[in-house]
Amino acid sequence: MAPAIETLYAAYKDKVQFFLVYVREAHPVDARPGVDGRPGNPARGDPNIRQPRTMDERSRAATECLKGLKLTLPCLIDNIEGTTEKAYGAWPAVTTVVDIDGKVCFYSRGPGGAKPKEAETALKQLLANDGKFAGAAPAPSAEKPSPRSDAPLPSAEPKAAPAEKAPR
Amino acid sequence: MAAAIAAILAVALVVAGTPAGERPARPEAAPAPGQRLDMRPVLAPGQMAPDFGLARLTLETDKSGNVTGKIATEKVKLSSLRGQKPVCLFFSSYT
Repeated sequence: MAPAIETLYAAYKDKVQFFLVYVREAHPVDARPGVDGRPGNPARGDPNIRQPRTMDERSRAATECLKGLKLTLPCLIDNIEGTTEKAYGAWPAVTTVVDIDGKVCFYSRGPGGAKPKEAETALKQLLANDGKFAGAAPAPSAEKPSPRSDAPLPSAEPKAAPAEKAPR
Repeated sequence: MAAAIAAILAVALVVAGTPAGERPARPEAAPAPGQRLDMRPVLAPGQMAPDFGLARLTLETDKSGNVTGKIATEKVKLSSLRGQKPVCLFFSSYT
């Protein structure tokens, strides 16, 4: 994964803001059953990384990650509670392309879900449209992503939005 | 006889249930053996991306060539990047 996201970063860094968001480890050597993925096995070449429990540990693990995978793209560190990871469903992996107005235009989840080629297609579409999302490309299947049941419904907005100016 | 059957049923229920002393898995956690990982997307194109304010990690190389990570005190807020460039986020860990 790593070289592909680094290649994408090198090609588009002038036009796109990239971030690697470092989240909790999927396969730490001290993986807990039911909480983490299967434990990593350094004897088989897996990184010898324990699950960080503090921000200091997490920044050290993220440093090892950047060094080990030779990544130079900007890196952000999620908090120990995993607030951002949860908001994006980003475990074990997710790629999200956001347009210039803050809208999601591409989202891919799952192990090996970095999907750099598809992300590049989304970026090209954005850059051809002044950075604005022009609507989803026709999906090959009719299956819609299922929203989480605990997500607030748009109609459940407690406060009325401030009155917008009428379009001229 | 009835008591024996009840005892067997009770044992079967305990075996089928969560083993004592093991915490139930959190919804976002990895699945227990035999269960599938929930891979349903939580976001869809067209939705606003959830905002975040996260610490930036930068690598610094000292005179002897040792590379260390430094966390910036200033946080990067996604919403503050609006109107500038598209943003591409890769969520990942090392393992």
